[in-house]
Amino acid sequence: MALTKLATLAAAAFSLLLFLNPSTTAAAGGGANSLVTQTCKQTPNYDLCVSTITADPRAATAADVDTLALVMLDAVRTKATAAEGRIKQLMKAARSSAMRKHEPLDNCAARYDVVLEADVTVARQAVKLGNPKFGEGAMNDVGVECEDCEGGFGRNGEKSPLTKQNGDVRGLADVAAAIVRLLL
Amino acid sequence: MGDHNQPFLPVSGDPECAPVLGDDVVVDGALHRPQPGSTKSKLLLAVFSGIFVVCLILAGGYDKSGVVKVAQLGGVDELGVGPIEMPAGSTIVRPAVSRGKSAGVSEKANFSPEQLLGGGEVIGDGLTEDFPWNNSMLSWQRTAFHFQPEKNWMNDPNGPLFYKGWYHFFYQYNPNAAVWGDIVWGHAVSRDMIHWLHLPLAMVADQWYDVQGVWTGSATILPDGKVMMLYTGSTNESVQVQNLAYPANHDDPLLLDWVKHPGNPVLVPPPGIHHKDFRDPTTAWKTSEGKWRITIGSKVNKTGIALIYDTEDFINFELKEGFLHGVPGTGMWECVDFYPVAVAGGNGLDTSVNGAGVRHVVKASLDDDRHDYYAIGTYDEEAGKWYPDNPAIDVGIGIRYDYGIFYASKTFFDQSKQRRVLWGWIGEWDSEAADVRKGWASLQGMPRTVVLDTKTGSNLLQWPVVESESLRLRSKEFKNVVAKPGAVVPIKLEAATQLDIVAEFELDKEAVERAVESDEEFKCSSSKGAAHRGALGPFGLLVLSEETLSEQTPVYFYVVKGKNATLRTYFCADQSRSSLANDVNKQIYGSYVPVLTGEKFAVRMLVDHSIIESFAQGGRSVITSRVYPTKAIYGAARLFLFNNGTEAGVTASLKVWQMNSAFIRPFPNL
Repeated sequence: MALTKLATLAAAAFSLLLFLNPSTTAAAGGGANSLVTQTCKQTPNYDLCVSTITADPRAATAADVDTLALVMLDAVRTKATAAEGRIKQLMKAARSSAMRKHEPLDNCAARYDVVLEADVTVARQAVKLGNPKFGEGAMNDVGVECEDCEGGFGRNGEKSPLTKQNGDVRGLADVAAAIVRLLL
Repeated sequence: MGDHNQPFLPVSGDPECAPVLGDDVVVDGALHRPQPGSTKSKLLLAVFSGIFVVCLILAGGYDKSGVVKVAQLGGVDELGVGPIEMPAGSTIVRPAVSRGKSAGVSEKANFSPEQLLGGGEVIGDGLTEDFPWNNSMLSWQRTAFHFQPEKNWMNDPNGPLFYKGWYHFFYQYNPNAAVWGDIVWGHAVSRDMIHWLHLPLAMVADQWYDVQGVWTGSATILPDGKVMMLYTGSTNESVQVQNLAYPANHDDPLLLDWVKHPGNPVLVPPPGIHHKDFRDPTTAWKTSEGKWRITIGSKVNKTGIALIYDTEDFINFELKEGFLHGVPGTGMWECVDFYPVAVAGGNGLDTSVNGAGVRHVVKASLDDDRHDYYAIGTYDEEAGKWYPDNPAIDVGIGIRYDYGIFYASKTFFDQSKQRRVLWGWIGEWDSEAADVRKGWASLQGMPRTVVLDTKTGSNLLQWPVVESESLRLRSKEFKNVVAKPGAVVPIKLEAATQLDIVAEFELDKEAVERAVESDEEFKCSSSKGAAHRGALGPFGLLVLSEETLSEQTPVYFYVVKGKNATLRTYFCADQSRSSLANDVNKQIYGSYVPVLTGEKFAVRMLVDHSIIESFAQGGRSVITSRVYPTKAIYGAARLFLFNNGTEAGVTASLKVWQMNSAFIRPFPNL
């Protein structure tokens, strides 16, 4: 009868929906798996979180939040390395223009050195070994370092040439801190 | 329970809310209660208003534009208008430049509110002067009499004990950098817990079961005097396991060399416990069966728990069913501690003591919020369970050892002086970049004795070990110094960076009686700090302050007169203006503190360069602060008494000692 036909149709539709449920398709770049989406919902920037993680090959098979944390930490490292490269370029330009020692750039170089050598290193170890509080602290510190780099130009009465870089690194670090927090 | 006042914390478990139930706590037993609707209350109101106006006038032209702009991002201005919007790219608030009263201040100078406690203007274009770190500022930060290694990173205290005439202290240490990592065990000894001598590393990461970290552990001294050290190792596969170590030579008073048990690990994560949630074994205590018992913190989902194990030889362990205790929602319990305290106070107790006249303390370091919490309760030895006296202030949701920076703490029983002593890791509140530049990070708190507060029965008292007094040099006494509302009084000292301060304060009794009842719900952390003016506070001391108060760290009491003329007292530290630097902690924090009938407001403070430890009401509430001034350093540091209340004068008596260095250095001729 009509009712059983309707029921069968509904069952079929439901099964189809289940089959097509994004959480069962874990293709990198093709749609984030549910671990990624659930994790990223608990960060301050869902879109940044999802796009960053799914761009990494590990996202497809990631089985735990620890892995996602490491992926995000690597993203911080990549972005901070790029920022450091830019700083070095600017420093070279400043030197060749016979300016006196350029304090804000020196300050930024020192700060990014700390981001890479201390913060990211500490955070990776902390996540890997299961002592995540040090990782959260380290990622929070990245924000402090970026802010101080940025603020150094203001103190010198100039406009910062690194606002985008500082903002990007900080944004990723904030997401990383939130993911590491889930491991506590 | 005798003279039992309000429990330390209310049902809500919020350290900053005063108890809502319980006996009234009064400072002066003769407070008058205004009769509703009577002419008496109208008269009081008129008098109060008059006094208020007079105070405003005396305060010297209260200038709203400059005052009480909160010296931190996102603060609320004094009109309660809501968060100050920071223009993009703006720098942190600068304090108002002092207008004309800076030079040659006399003994009893009064500063105008905006110079001092009011915070400064927001500078949007960043063109004001700043103080980037220099080596002089950074090297000043090293302490004179707090334990710290010569360089690099330190965290948790490990295995403290007294053995053959020496106090031993071990600690989590990174030999390679000023940040956490590559953790091994540092070691130091002293005769008096003050004058420490550095020894070689006790244990390094040389076994597969601790190659990724020789983590925290505790010592047990057996009846025959032998020492057993249980500690957590992070294995080559990042699994957290427990290992046994013992001195290579029990005749060596310095315990220089340690042997790791060949059969390590002695404990691996049990079923149901994640391999990254299993660390920090405690000192063992005897059971009635004659076995040894330890506890190890962990979690199940978001419930923090303390696992129990029994052992006869520290090698083979039996996991007891259930947990010693657990509290939902508290997350991972790190550095669990478990020990008895005597109901009668007095001496400390060996960890194995049990029976009548004894309560047991369970303490946990909460991973989630990086604070140390404890609760007092009953230990059921046979069941292997512990129950809090007051579940509303259970472990992790109630009382903290310290309302500042203080974590991973651990006690030990000092059998030589029959006291229980508390060590706590004091981290840094500056940037990693500063730590890397200065080449070190972290301190240990001054060791504190811990006893039950016999007057309240519901909290502990902490106090610097008596040996701290051996550091006292010359003292100066200031008796009955009056600070009227709005006053700041310089306390003239030869120096102000290494101090032991003992101070008592009294509020003007009449002003307290006259003060109108307020329904203010005060919290240190959501207040405007020392700029938060009430009728009866804030009042206290401005520590590590600069002459013009461009930098100042207020540590103070704030008293609220509530319903039925009950007085509630809060004890806070305000770092919002502690430094002109941008990249340091600027928070305001503290707690409610019970002040009992007949007690004055009392505080003892140890000031040691970049650390301040403040003990209120004999150690009923303690706040440790890390402060990083850029100007208020060396000879420029000052101490002031202040009273930023609007109605009541404060009379203070203080004794201030200059403190000697402890000359902490490597053990000579080793």
